Amino acid sequence: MAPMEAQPLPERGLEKANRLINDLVTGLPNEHLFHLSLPDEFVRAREAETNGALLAIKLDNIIAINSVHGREGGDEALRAVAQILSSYRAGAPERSSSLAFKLSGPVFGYFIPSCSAPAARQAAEYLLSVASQSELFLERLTISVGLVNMYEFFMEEGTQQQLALRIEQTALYRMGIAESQGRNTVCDASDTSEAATSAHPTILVVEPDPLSIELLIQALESAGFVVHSREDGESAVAFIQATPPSLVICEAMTPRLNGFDIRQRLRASSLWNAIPFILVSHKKNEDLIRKAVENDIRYFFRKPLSIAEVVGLAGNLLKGGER
Amino acid sequence: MSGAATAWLLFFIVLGLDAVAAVVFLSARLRRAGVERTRARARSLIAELTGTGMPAADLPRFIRRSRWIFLEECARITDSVALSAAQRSAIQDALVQARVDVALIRDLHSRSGYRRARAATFLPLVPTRAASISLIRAVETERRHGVKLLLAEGLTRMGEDFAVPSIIDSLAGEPRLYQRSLWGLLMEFGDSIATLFPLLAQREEKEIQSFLIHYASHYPSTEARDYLVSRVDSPDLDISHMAFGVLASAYPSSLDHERYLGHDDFFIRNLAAESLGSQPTARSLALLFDHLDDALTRRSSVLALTAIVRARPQHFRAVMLRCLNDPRPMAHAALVEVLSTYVDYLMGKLLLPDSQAAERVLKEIIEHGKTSEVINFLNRNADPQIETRALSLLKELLAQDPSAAEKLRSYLSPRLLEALQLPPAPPPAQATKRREHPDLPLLYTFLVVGVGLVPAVCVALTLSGTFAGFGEMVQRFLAVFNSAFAAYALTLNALYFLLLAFSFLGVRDQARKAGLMGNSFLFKENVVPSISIITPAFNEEASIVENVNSLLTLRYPDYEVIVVNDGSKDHTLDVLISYFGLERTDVFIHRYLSTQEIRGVYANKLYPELLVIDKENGGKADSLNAGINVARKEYFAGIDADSMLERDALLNLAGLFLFADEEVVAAGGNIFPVNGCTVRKGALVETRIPRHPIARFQTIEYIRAFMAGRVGWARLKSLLIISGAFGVFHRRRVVDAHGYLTRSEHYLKDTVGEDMELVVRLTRRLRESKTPFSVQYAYNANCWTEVPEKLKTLNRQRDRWHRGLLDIMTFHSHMIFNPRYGRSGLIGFPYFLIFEVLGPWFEAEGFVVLIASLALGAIGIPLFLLIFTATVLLGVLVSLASLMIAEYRKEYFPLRDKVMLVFYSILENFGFRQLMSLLRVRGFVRMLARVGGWGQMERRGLGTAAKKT
Repeated sequence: MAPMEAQPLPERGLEKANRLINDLVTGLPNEHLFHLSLPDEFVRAREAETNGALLAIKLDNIIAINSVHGREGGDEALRAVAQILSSYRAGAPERSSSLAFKLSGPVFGYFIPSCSAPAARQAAEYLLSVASQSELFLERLTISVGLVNMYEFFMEEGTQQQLALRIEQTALYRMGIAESQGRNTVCDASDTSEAATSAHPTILVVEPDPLSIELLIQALESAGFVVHSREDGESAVAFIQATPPSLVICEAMTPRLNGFDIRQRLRASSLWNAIPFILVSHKKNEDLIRKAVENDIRYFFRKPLSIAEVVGLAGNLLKGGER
Repeated sequence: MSGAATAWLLFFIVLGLDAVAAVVFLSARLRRAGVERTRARARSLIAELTGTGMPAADLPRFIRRSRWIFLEECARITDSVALSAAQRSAIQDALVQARVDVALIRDLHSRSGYRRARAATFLPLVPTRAASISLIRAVETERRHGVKLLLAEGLTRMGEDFAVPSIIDSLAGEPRLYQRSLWGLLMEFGDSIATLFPLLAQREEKEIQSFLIHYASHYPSTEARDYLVSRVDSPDLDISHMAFGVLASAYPSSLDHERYLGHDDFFIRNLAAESLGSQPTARSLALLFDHLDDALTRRSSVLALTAIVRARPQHFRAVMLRCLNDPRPMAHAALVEVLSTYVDYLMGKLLLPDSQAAERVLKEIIEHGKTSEVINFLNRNADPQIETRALSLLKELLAQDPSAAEKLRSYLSPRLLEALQLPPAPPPAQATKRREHPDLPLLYTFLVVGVGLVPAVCVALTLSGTFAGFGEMVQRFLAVFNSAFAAYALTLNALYFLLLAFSFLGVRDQARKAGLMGNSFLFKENVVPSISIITPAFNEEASIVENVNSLLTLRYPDYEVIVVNDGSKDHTLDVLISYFGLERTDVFIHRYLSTQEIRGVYANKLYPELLVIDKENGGKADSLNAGINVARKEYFAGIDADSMLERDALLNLAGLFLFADEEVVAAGGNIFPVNGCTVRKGALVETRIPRHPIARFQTIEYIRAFMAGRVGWARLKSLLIISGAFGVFHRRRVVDAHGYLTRSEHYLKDTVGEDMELVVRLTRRLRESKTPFSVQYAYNANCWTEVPEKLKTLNRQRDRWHRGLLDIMTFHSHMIFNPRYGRSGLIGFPYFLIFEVLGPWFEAEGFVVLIASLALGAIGIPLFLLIFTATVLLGVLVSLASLMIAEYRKEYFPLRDKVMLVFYSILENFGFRQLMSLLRVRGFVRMLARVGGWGQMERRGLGTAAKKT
């Protein structure tokens, strides 16, 4: 940076003022400003009876980045996240009323006024996917998002300052849950209520070959599971989105969308992403294994399948063990 | 018997045969249902046996009566699920009790290759000691490749370690494709090969050395590594390169890089540099930096450096510093190339206080022509601050060097171009006229012979008799001519029946062998060859995504999809880019074949098997050639963008390759009209015949041409046509033969029949060099394609086909009746000349004369009956027989459609077939008119791509 003395006086004053409200590293408005504006935004939303959403976004791998690239590298990564937020904000005219903040530590706040709950969720998922694919930093960025909808607090008692504080705490708490679930996930009210795990575990088998389907269903049903089946990728994705099963067993070579495409569609939402996914196929080679790893597929079996192995694994996964 | 009685008798016999054929064809479903019931029974018996361990009471009787169905169902089940040891032994006991094992072992000595292969497939279900010993003996003596592969596969499934030496011995002296298939099977014996390794390492045969090198890449050990090191010094370059390749990729950490980076052989230097990429250490960086000014290894070094920075981003700074300070120009350029993958990151740095380094590197990147990344970034970027900085940087550069503007103008978004004050690129210039130059004198000879020969002979015959009055002479001439016409039709249909007989044998053979190859066999590594699918697309924005999606969901072990956008005037490229999230990449393209200029290559890391090439318009053949340049697999498949492959099409085709005893250089699949079918998201939902009559006639025509024609021709080893809609070719062989015929390539000549021409040229070259080869045709590798429903488009299509045929007949006229070209020269070519080039003229004349004779009452009932029987009734019989062959193993259409097909195969004889002959005559005339310079050539794209029946 150029020496301070060289700058004319008024600009120095301006810079000083800037420092008070803007974060030094990222240039975004800082925590102080965030605490000033959140209560107002909340009241505005409550009076207009339109929802608004607060996203608490954490750069998960900041510690790893700091240890490899030093502090400077960590700052670059934070700037990259800030840039992703600003680009998202500039991406469409209706987003220009959103506010992005840099909170303390590797955490960002993003406030979207007057937006529906699904739209907020969608925005969060979109930010996740952009961040995980971004090349703005040397390494992949992984972030966790905690999402709070304003309407959740419309009925609550308290001053606007108290409520704003609770909103902020809830967002940070959910962000913590998202982080503990694994990198690149979103957590909102529906995820904390454990709605996803039902009493009767259902399994979806995606398999175009009638004989294989027959044999698998027989084995799984006799082990006490409720089994559904689909013969192609397109209807499988539709099925999962409508009624998320507890486990998906999927052939890699399915018509319309193949197994990897199905997995990619499911990764778009952290809810579907969390469903354990077993890939099976006659075709299993190094390239495909690499592709499976890239798509975060943890189980990939070569056919002919050992029925005992698949049924046993399904049992273990659905008992609530590891994912 | 009088002439009239004979004619009537013949008429009724053939009519009766027609009726029988129609009934057999229509009742196929009933017969098939019976077999299906037996199969279902077999499955339930097997389920009972494996579930309880106790055989059902009637199991022995069932096995005695339906042995093969029982075995087939057992094989199908074990192909998709692995049975437990107890379940396997239950099945074994049941089979041994029925003495099936004895019968199978006896079959191993059968003279029929199919029976031997069948025994090899089913014997692993009864893995007795005797079965193992017989299989091992059979591997040692077997000559047929396909059978030998199945024998080896059977031994693999039984885990019979003692078989390994025999299988390895069988590698020597065999073609490469077979060797590779066998490698895949042998890998299953990993551990037992390890114990044999020291012994095998002594062997001198090249085939066994290659196998051991391949083995060393899959099962690393100290022994294997030492073997590889010793093989690198082998005098045989193939072995040396292969050994070093494995050493560099599988054992990079123990490679003496310093030694090999200075090796005399640049191939080895390259691999050594590339392998450093897998070891992201500071030492690797230093070594690579030192060797960056070696022009022959520059590419590999760049790849390695890129890989290192990707794996350990902390090395980025070192590379950047080195780049800014390296005085050697070549090394500097290479480092800029490495950094160009980090444009996004560098752009972000522009806004920081210490941006000078980033700015310098970015400038260098643009100056070195690596603009695509910068363009991609700017088109994607939404941050106005960065945009302003980047644009000012570009302006600065453009002021110094205006030549960079060219690429920017073509690919930067209009908004940014405006900011840079650059006009957008003008639309590409129109492609030049086609160059076909056919051989005119020869064409005129064909014309004279086609038009004049038969009438002249008939006139001579008429005049040779005693002279009567003029009316009498005309009568006599008409009678002679009509008899000649009947004889012609009889000969043609007799030939068809002969071909049909060969087709039937071919189809039966194919179907039986396909039934023996399970998925777990075909999907083992290397067993079937790898294939690059090349799809040329010209103005296909409406359907291209669906087609590519369908190609990406095929069932095949190892393939890639290359879409070639042939300078489309619509949004074909944009649609692909946005749907598949493609990005422009700078890849190195080999220039094996010269083509119109390639404008860019697009890819997405999430779809590593998809590549899109954007090029200047040059026609279908030129696009295929461009695709061949980019293709990386052993074979390539040319597929029209308006056609749709069935999911198993490639697999069915490649199954044939395994059973071929000579190297397969080309193979074709079946074409069906897609018009009546329902297709959703690139997959067939329902197969129906088209609704439009013109398309229905073509359904019959296609099935006849493919089933009666090509399967038979392939069986006769003289197949000369492979449809452009779906054909597979050996990539290396095609490159050696200078690719498809285009004006940019070796022969400086265009043709509209590029698909047939390529097969003819390959045949010609391989015959001339006396290389054994084969051209295959799979009856069940199906491709569904749009056929014209308007007479005008049909006319245009047939015109093009005939022009293509004439072009080839003149261009390769040297081969006609030439014994040097074997059956192709003596049977294939003469057939095309007589029945496809000259025949239509005579057919047209015969038709006119027949009408005239009827009008004049100059034809007797016996002769008329004979002509009717020879053309219509026999024609219907040929069509029905073809339909039956097409549905040999699988029914494509529902019953009402099949009734329609029978009806249309009768109807087509009254008008449609004559019309097709006339269109050919017209095509001939128009070709002469064109090359005579009377008509302006009209350039057409791929929208109505060339197909041939």
